[in-house]
Amino acid sequence: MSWPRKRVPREFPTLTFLVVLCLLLTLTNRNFATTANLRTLGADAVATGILAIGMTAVIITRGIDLSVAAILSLSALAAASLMAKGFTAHGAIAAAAFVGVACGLLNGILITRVLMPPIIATLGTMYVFQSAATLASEGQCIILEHNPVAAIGSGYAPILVLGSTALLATGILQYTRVGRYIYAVGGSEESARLSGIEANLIKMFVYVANGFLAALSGIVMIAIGSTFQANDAQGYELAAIAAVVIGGTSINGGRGSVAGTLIGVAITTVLRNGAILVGLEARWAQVIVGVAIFLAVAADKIRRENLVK
Amino acid sequence: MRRMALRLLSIKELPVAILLCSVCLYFSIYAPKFADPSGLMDVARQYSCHALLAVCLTLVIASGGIDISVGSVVGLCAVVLASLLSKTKADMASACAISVGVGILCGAFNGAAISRLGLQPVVVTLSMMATARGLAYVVAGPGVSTISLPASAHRLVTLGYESNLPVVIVITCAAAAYAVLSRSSFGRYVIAIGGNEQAARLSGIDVGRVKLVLYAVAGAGAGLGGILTTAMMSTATTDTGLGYEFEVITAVLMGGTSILGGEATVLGSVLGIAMAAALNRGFGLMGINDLWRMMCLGLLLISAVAMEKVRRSVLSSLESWRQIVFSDVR
Repeated sequence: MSWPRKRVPREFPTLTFLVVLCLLLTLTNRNFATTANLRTLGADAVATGILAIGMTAVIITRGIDLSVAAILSLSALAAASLMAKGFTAHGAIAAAAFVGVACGLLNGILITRVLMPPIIATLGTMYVFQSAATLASEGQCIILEHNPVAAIGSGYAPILVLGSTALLATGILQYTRVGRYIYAVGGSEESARLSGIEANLIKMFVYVANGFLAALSGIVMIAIGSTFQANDAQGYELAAIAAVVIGGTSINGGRGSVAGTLIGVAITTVLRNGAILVGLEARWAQVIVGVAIFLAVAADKIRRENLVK
Repeated sequence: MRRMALRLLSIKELPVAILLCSVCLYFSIYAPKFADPSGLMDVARQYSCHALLAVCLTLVIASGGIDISVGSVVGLCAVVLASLLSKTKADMASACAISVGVGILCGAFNGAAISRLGLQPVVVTLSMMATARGLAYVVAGPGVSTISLPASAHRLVTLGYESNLPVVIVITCAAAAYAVLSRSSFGRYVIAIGGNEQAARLSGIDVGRVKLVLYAVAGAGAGLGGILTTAMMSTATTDTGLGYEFEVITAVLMGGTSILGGEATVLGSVLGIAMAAALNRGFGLMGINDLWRMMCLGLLLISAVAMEKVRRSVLSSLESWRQIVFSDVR
């Protein structure tokens, strides 16, 4: 083949799709490309975007984490209730990070020590964490009158948080030894282990990082909304997984990128926003996300088969 | 002594049976109304949908697959049934048939994507989980979350809420699944695929077709379960079946079916569901918040898989010990 296949970035098809989608919406709907709408889009995308970055690393190791939304709830509630009691922003953020890391650690232990399949382990912890969050808050909505973390949520700050998280994650995944090990473990855990990589340690790192990012995402949600309720993040794990898979990260592990995931986040956000603008009701959103996950996985499979041929 | 331990350990249902007995004992002491027969029948009816799903998922998990979309498909089928009965002039039999058909369609789609396209069960059923739940919202209509069955469907409600039919259906299905799994060639194919898919394919089993059938059966089970749930509640909501997959998978794994495939017990799954039902009734009677039950189930799911690992490793070490002894004797 004359076309230099390696030069075409893997993200190219999804990026094209995103651009075409945005162009179509801009041309057909005058409410799409307004500053107000774009700002809403940005605020929507940040929480799932941060979750999706952590999820990318997890899925690259051939794992999955269904409990991220529950970790988000638990850590955000810890932070919000502390701030409601008059704690400083630093203390609350530290508490949230601690809860997130502890939850991630539990997932990691179940997966690497108890050797549970990630989907089962995190399905179990999802219910444990979510019930704990609802029980601890008694289902009440915590409203912060003086929001100590409001600075993170105003203006372009959330986008900045998302951007720096993405840059950091890309840096780790592409340019450090840990990053290369993450890809190696996902590609073939057995060969990674045989070549001297501590696969369990790498997996543990990935789930702990995921827990930490879930906590960060929770802080951003509080910063933007000044309120938090235990079921505010319901379904976010699906949105994050959808974004990762649509962004071209292979569910079979070993391949994927944070850049692709960000495109995936943009696509799911724009699709949801576009559906409402075009006049489809919000209830179609979940169908669209479900179908999009399926199409992305099928496309990845077909692309892989073509590469083999 | 060791031989007895070996024999006891090779009974897959043993842990769940012990757990079920102790939980029932505990509740009958601390919640006096627990053992009331009509109350037990109520909870059995209430859990008939779960039990049906557990029986189907036992087969799916035995083949090394998983289906996390069953809860959403139950919701979709329930909403379809209720809408057909309340918005159109459809009679009960055809409405039920259509609703089961929708379930089979969802399941067959899962099966086709997994067996023909070779996609991973986890993602395919994850996408079906989102799609079916979304479709339930779409079918229900804008702003509608609860659809009540019309008065004309009272016969269905009577069957679901007052008769023992749901329990009879469950027992029949469980017996059928048991027979298929242990007596038919199809059952042996399922176990073979779960044990080693490559080997099963090389020995001439049509792996794709077996998987397609399994997921379609799971869809049919979800459709039937949706009808049972709707009949019992006499309403369908867009949230019907939410989280069922979690309780059902917990029950199946607790019952001794291996998540890695190749080992299955229908009896264990039914006992697992009985355990979930007992917890539900006991916690309800003692006035404990439902969320504690969810947390309990989450911990049970995790400990069930951990226990399975321990059982397997003890079993294999005992087994190797026995082999050494036998070779010495010889």
